[in-house]
Amino acid sequence: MKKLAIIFTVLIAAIFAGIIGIRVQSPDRDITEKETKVGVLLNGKKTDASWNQAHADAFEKIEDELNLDVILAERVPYGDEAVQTMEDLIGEGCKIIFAESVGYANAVAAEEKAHPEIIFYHCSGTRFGDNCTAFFARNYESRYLAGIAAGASTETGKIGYVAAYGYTEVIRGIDAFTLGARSVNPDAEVIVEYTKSWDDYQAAYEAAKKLIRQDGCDIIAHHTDTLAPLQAADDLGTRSIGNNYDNRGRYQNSNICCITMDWSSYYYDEIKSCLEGRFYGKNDWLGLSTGSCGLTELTDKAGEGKAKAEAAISEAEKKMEAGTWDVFFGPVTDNESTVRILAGEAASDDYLLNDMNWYVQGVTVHE
Amino acid sequence: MSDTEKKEKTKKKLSKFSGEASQARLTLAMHWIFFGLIIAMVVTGFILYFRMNDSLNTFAAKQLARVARSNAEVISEETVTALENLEFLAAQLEAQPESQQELLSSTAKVVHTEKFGCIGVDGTPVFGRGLPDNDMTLVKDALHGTGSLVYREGVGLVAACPVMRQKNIRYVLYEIIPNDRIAEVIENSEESPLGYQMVMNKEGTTAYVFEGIPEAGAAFLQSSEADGYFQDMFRTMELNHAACDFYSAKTVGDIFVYEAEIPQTDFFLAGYAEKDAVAADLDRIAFLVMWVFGLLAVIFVISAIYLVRVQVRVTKVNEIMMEKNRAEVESNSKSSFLASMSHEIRTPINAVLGIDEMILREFDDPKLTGYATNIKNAGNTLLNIVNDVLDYSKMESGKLSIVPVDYDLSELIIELVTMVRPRATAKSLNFVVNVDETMPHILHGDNVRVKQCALNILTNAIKYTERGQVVFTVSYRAGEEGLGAFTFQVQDTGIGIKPEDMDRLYKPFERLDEEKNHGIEGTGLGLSITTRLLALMGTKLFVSSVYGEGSTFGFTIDQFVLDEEPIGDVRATYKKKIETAPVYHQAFTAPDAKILVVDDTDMNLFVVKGLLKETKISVDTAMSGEQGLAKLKVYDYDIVLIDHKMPGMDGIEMLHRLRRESMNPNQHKPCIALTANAMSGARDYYISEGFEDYLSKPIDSAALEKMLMDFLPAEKIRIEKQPELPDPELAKAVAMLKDRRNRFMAG
Repeated sequence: MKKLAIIFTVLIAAIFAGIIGIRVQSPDRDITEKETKVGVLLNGKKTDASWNQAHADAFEKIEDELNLDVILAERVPYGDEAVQTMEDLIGEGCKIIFAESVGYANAVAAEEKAHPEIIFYHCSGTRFGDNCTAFFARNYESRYLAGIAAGASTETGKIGYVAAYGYTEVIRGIDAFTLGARSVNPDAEVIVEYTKSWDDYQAAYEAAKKLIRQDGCDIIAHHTDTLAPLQAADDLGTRSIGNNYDNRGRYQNSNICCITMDWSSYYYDEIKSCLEGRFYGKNDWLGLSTGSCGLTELTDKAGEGKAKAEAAISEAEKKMEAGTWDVFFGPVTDNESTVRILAGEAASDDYLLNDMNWYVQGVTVHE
Repeated sequence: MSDTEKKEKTKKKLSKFSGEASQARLTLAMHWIFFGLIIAMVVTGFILYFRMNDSLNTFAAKQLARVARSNAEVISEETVTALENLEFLAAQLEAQPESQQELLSSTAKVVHTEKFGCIGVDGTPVFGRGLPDNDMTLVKDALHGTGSLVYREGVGLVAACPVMRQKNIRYVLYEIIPNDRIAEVIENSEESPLGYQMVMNKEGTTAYVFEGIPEAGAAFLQSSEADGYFQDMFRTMELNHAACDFYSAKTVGDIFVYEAEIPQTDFFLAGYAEKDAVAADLDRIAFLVMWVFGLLAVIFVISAIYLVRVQVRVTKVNEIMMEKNRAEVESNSKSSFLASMSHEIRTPINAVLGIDEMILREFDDPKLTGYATNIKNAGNTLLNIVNDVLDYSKMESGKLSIVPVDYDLSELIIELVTMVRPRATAKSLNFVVNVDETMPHILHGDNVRVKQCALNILTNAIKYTERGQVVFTVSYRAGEEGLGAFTFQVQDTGIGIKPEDMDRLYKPFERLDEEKNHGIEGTGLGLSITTRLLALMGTKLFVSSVYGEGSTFGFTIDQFVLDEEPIGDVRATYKKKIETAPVYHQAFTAPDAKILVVDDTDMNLFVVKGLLKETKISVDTAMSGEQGLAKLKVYDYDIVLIDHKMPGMDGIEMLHRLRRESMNPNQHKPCIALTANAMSGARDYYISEGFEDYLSKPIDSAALEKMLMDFLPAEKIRIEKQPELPDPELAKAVAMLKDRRNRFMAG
């Protein structure tokens, strides 16, 4: 009897083992249930009150809600170190990598191929792929608005512009700024001084000083990652327009307004899509309407032109958000009097990204 | 291992399985096993069902995904074609800006004017109606230089393409594909219906839900629940560009939810189909499998039950075998008990009678011989009683067997008469013998038992009759197939039997009218034995009686008739026999002969010595097999008488050893076995063991002398002729001895 019972038990156990494995179907709905690791490459300090801090701030804003563990890698140089840093982050378990500088393009390209399962976001990049999205903000739009503010506020009619390099991005910014300024002040002049560095404080400071002393600019705008131009303006008793970050509080005596970048809503939407499995590679150039780029409110340093500026800014914003108009809708003439964009035309993104190497009327560049 | 030890062992073995308690336990265990088996089958069935359903659903889902994909491709074609057309047109316009209106109007012929147009970068229509509400966000991407497909609720799908001048956008061409057109496209496709569908963009926001969907379906598609399912599938979409999965939805039940990329757009075709619509056949497959499984399960259970029952039966059979063995062991022990009892009891009786015989022979003193005669009578009676008891015992244990042999009926009758008549005469009873002279007398049957029964009823008749007569009748009626029915009847004028006592007749140890019959000897076993014997022989006793007047006892028995020769006048034969009864005195002497008698009981040795005294044979004795062999080595003997049952080396072993001793002078001398319990076939048995013959104990002196005469060397025998004297007493004695011996032989 015992033998029989044992045989039966073994048989039944075998049947069980063979059929076992019921898969219970239940969609994993709560995407934020598990913590997701996100790696970020910054080319500077996260406390730089500028470009990098804008990114850091954005992540900080959204990390709790989406249950993220954001690992910031600061001051990552371009080149091999960038690749290594990305490898390290992926090794730590990061599922999404943000490369927040145009200089990481090669690193992104390499890692993108090496890790098809990891999602890459390249800020200010232009190339996208199956697991890589390039994104940027249409900063030229906010620069245009800044230009309006500058144009309306300047008393000397000369606005200084400290810029790092003559990239298309920078020139585009200068052109937008100038178009904005001249839309309220047709005689406004924008004088550009290049520092050949994004964060060389001294160079930027000197450039600003030069613009103020030599050229008589009463407003300094800039396209660098340092606060030097604002400091210089403040020190030398003129006014400034900030870049990347809202530093009005810092320079209460001199700052009119600041161009800001708020990546938080873009990051939120994008990371959420990633968690939901909806990621697909694209090129996002985020306009004003998305909130990624913007201009702060004008301070009283705008002076008498403040009201005029605000009205113009508001109108421009509306047009841009409605999609009926953008900064580089024609006619646009360069500073050699050639009409580059005809009336009734709009510059394509391709043009803006690649062919914007001329200056609009009203721009003077120091060699 | 002795018998008792064997018994203990078997008892232990049986205790596990036998007994009501463990039987109940066994049954309970079986029930639990069945219960468990059935549960296991049911659970396995469920698991199989779910697993199978799973697999079938996955299969169906894959199929559905493929269909969704192809449908998506169809949509893609439609929408992308629109875009491609615009791109082509744009290219043409760029190449030939002067033919603008021509190109536009010819295109418009193909597409509805409302749905197609060309606008400037500020939205001013160049051709067509312009965008609805002049909503430039519809062509946002086009304004930045890339063709696009945008879905807007209430509008439909908007394809837009910029017309460039170098790198600047001059115009925007657009075409609006309304909702119903999309639905049309799909519904026209040949593919099987996909249930309820919608188009949605990659951000997961619903683009368009096709018409004709019931509200519940539409609500579901746009619900967060559906959203969850879509998210799930999005992950698996990487490889296939289409995914489908089975879900049990809360609101709409069992469905297949699918997503398919619409290639070259940013949209998905998404929707769900009810399981019943898609997978009706699958249910049939599932049912079939479960049906087969169910059957197999039933077969399995039945086989299990059958196997267990077989097992139980096997166990039972084992039990029965054990019981049988036990019973056999018991039976065997009973047999050996009987055998040893037989031996033990007869040996001292043998001694008493033997020595008594010697007294009768050697002494003339009448007083002494008188006493000796009384002893003899008592001894014989005792022997009879012992035999009765042993017979009865044997019959009770079923050890008594009927041994048919060829015999002469006339001899049987004569022997009966010889034994009975003196008794009747002694009581002054008239003894009448009626024998049918025409009946055959050469028969085949168990004469010993027949005689025993007849003797019993005869002696009873004489016992219970005080005056009058006893009539003994033997009659015959021919039967068929060589049988004859012989009736032995005894009629007496005795005390009779009361009707109410008739039943007690056959009861063992019962004496009727105890007080009245107090003086009558006997154990009361006689009739009981007789009826049993008659039953064994296939017949029974008939009785009739009138209390106070007399009784008639009798039986009719079938015996095989070997010869038809009639018996003739038995009385005459009897008379002759009486007169010519040979008397055995010591018929010979053999003073030169030397024999060895081996027996473990010195009483027996004494008896033999005494019986042979007159023959002048030199008689050596030994008390054991070893002693006997020792003597045999030294002395020369003519015959060796060896007792069979001796402790240690028994008679047979001794004989075998003797026969192997090549140096022994007596190696091949004739050996006679002595045995107290001779059974049928004894002679053959002892001969097969190497003896020449055997004698049964108590040793009959006549038989002993005859045996010696047969086996002593002829030159040593001196026969003395003696006058033959008829001696009725002796004849009777002889007859009784013979009878006794025969009974011993019958076992």
